[in-house]
Amino acid sequence: MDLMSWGITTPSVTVAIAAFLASIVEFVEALTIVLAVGTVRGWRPALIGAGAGAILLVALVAVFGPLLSEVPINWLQLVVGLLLLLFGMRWLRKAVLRSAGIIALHDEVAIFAKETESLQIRGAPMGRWDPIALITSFKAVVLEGLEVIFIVIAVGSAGNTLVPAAVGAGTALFLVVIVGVVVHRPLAQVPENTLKFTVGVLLSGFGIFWIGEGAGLPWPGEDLAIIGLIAGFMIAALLAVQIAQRSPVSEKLP
Amino acid sequence: MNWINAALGELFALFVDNVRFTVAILAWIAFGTLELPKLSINMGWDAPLLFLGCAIILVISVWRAAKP
Repeated sequence: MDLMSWGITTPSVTVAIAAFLASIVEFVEALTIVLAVGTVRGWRPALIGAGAGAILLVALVAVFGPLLSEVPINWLQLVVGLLLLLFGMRWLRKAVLRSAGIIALHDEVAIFAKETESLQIRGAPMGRWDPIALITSFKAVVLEGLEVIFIVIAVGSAGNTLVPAAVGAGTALFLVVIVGVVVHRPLAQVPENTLKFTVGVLLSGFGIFWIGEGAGLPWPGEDLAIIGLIAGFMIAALLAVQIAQRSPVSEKLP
Repeated sequence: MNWINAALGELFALFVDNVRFTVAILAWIAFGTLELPKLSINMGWDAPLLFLGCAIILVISVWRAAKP
């Protein structure tokens, strides 16, 4: 039995990889905040807040997910493609500037320290239902989770590859939770900028592909054009890093 | 309400970081999907040109951010 009969095609594998890598970045960011809350104010409110956030995300998907099937496919491809392109190119630009040393790298240890300090300043935990801990943990999971949902729906819906996208994101969640439980500290070893660079390239490739499909512009090689687009964005981004490294620094982004 | 505003702000920030960069992408996509097909260039080039424009916007935006 060949891979195609299992539904394992080039686009579905690429979608699963894109969703996995993008989700890892977001889950690591959420984990950093939840760990800070748990360490400073107690694990019970930290985990209840995170659980409530996860339930809200599942409810949002359950309510709004089925509506996607009502949208005509070419409109879905255009809108999702545009959002994916903006999201992917924003990540890619920032990752390029970080790779070139123009802006500072994302530092999970520094974020953990800052969040820990901020939670300590707000005083001692307020009983079993510490609202500061609950809300901080809830917010982190909802905000980072919304990004994961957007990525899964965006890379999955336009090409009917929601299952591989969800599998990719689910695997990332499983890995981050397991590693988080085991190491019990921020996952500073995750090469976040390399991941964002790669994901930016992948999402930009998917985005421009869906825009072309939605607008009725034919791609040479049809679905296989995605591979060429990903390679093209990778070359452009590496070229941009070279150009930025040769220029004196002028812009400092947050 | 503050929390909702913060959430909407986060949602906006998912797609927009540098306004000039975002506007350039949107303008190119609008031109590429609406006007490019009317210019009677070979139809097979329209989609690759759409990509090429985005790649050039990325390189120029990074160059502008890095120059003194």
